[in-house]
Amino acid sequence: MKLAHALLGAFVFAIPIRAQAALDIFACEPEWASLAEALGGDKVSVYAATNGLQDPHQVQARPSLIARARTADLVVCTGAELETGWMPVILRRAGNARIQPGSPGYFEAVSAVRLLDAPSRLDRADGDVHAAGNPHIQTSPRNIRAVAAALSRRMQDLDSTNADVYAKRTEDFLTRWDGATRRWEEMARPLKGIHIAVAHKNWIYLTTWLGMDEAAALEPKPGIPPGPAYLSQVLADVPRKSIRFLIYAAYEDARPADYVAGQAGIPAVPLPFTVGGDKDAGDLFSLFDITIARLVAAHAS
Amino acid sequence: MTGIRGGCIVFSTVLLALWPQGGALAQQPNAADLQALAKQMEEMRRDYDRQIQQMKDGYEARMSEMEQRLKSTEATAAVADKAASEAQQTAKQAAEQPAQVASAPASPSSFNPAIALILNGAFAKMSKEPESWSVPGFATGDEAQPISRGFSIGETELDLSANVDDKLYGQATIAFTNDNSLEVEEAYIQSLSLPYGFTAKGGRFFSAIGYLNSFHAHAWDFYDAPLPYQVFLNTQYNDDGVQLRWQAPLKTVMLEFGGEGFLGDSFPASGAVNQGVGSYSAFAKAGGDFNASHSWLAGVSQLWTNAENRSTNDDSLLFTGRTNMTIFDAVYKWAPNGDPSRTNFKLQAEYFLVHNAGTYNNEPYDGNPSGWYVQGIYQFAPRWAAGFRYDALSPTAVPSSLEATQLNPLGLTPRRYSGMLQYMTSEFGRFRLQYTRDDSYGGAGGNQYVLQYTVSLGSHGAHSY
Repeated sequence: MKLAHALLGAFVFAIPIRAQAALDIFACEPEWASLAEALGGDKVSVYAATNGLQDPHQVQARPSLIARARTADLVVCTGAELETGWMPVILRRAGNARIQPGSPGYFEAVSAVRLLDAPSRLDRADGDVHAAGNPHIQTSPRNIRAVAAALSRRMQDLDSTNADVYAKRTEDFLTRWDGATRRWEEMARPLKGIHIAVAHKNWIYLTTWLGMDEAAALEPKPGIPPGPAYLSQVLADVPRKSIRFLIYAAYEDARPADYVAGQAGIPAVPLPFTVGGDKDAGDLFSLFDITIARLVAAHAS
Repeated sequence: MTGIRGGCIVFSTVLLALWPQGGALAQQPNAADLQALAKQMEEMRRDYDRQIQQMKDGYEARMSEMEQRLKSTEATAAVADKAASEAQQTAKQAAEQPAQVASAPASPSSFNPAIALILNGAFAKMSKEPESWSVPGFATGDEAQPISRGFSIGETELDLSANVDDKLYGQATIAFTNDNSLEVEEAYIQSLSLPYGFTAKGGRFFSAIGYLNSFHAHAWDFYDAPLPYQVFLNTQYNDDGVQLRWQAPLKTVMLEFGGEGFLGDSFPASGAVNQGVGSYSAFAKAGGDFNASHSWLAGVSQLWTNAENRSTNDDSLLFTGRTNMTIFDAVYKWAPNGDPSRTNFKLQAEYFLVHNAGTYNNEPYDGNPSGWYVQGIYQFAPRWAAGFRYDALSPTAVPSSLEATQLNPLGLTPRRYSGMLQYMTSEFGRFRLQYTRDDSYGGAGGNQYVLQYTVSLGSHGAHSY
């Protein structure tokens, strides 16, 4: 009976917390947390389930994440199986009907963009493939734009009293974003058509956006570490395909990238990959500022 | 431009050179004639000059007209180019946006549940005969003994799961055991849409008591369950029943309470007493992060079971009465900056306090044994992990009337030391070598070597913490 009293007490205590809070957003990745903050301002309280130095495939369904999902009004995830190793557990344990897939409180960013790299066959022998396509959509500002528009509509639907605020902030964000995108495209003009190498196949949206050719990858297949024979093949490809530099994400191990780039005599360029992937990449704008600046600098060197 | 103009100049020069020749060569030369000729020539020259000027003017007019046209063509081309690049941009944007029509082909099989098939295989070398496994002081269930010597495939497990609709989730785990029998380990439905943080579950499922109890065997860090799970819960407690859990809305820390009611026909319960509601449980779990790299989970659980003629591994012993237990569990995990993929560490420990009250073969029996284990798993490289486990039991004194039975602890403290090394081919495949120094039965000093593989085919199951 003591337990029942404790239950009842905690339950009654819990109700007022919900009523006064701003729109409580649980973002699976920091880029969507940053976007939700930009669109919602002080009308939202945003929690990022992962930080910029974590591999979003490899997150443990920690109790703290379950606790955050319990109170969330809106879950913003990438989707396309990126969070398949942990998010289903959190959703089933959270006891929160508002954020179950199919509910208005469950938003997948990939619903707003068309995915590239969808495999024509599904076989685990091909490595860590995603059936729906490559989920790392945040590396192109055009995708961010599309997600911003869709996410804003969802926020307006969920929190109609603040819909005007969201609409206004979104319009403002998109204006600034379009201006910044033109600036980045202008800065990145010399990168068009150059050949580069990637550590992991998670840059398809960036390379497509800037017109760069992904001529080699350090992994023979996604998630499969390279053997010596494969690496010597990559080293031979660098002069043959006139590869200019190698890019890798901040959350990835720098050692293989540094080693291969050092052997091949090309720069290894760490890119933030998402918000928080670099100490200066505090929001989406600075994320692309840094990304473009590093690419242009690597190209000029 | 210069090419066209140059060409015109050459052309006019040739015309100039040819034009005058025709009439002039026919005249005879005399003074008057010469005078007239000179005059005529002068006129002709003037005429030619005029004609040439006219031609030149004509050409220049045409040339400037052509230049004009060229310029306007260029301007048009630039406009077209711009339009084309805009169209390209739009197309690119459109390509990046999803089409309104569904891109995935809708086949009837898209609605099939997620299916995972777990395959195991093991080779075991054991100095003590596993068939004779029986821990002095404990009358155990029928699934608790170690795997058999030599080659075996253990349990082949089939998991099927899917959302039933927007309100329910369903999951079944069917195990094909080593001796070709079929066992429904789990088959349950779970709510998705209860309000206020509640989740209900019904069917057959692993109880949420303790930490390890709800994990399927393929997710364990050692091939066998720790001793307290083997002797007190017949490896794992699953039964038919219902469960209700409640998550407190505390945001920064997870706090969960729950309770279960079971049929009561699964060891240590037996006989489905109390009109088929023979077991109950209650549990509380709390967990959170110390910071981005360090996280924890702790819990306390209570299981109440009733038994009527519970059979044990000692065929002569039948228990009737109550077996209740309290389980304390704690887990600590380290993953640098929350990313466990390269390296991570897990420390877990559980303590069981058991109370048996009833009769064995009508002889009164009251015993309070306990058991515990602690284990640490260190993933020291992306695909490599090593682990150590110590598990032990503390038996209870036996009444003199039952001294000749399995319940006599013979003055021993059953315990084991285990070490393991595992290599993961990927997230879905694992090879593991385990060594156990087994002092839990048959005297001190048993050695076990088990080489095992476990792979998962099909859908990517999510991992619990």
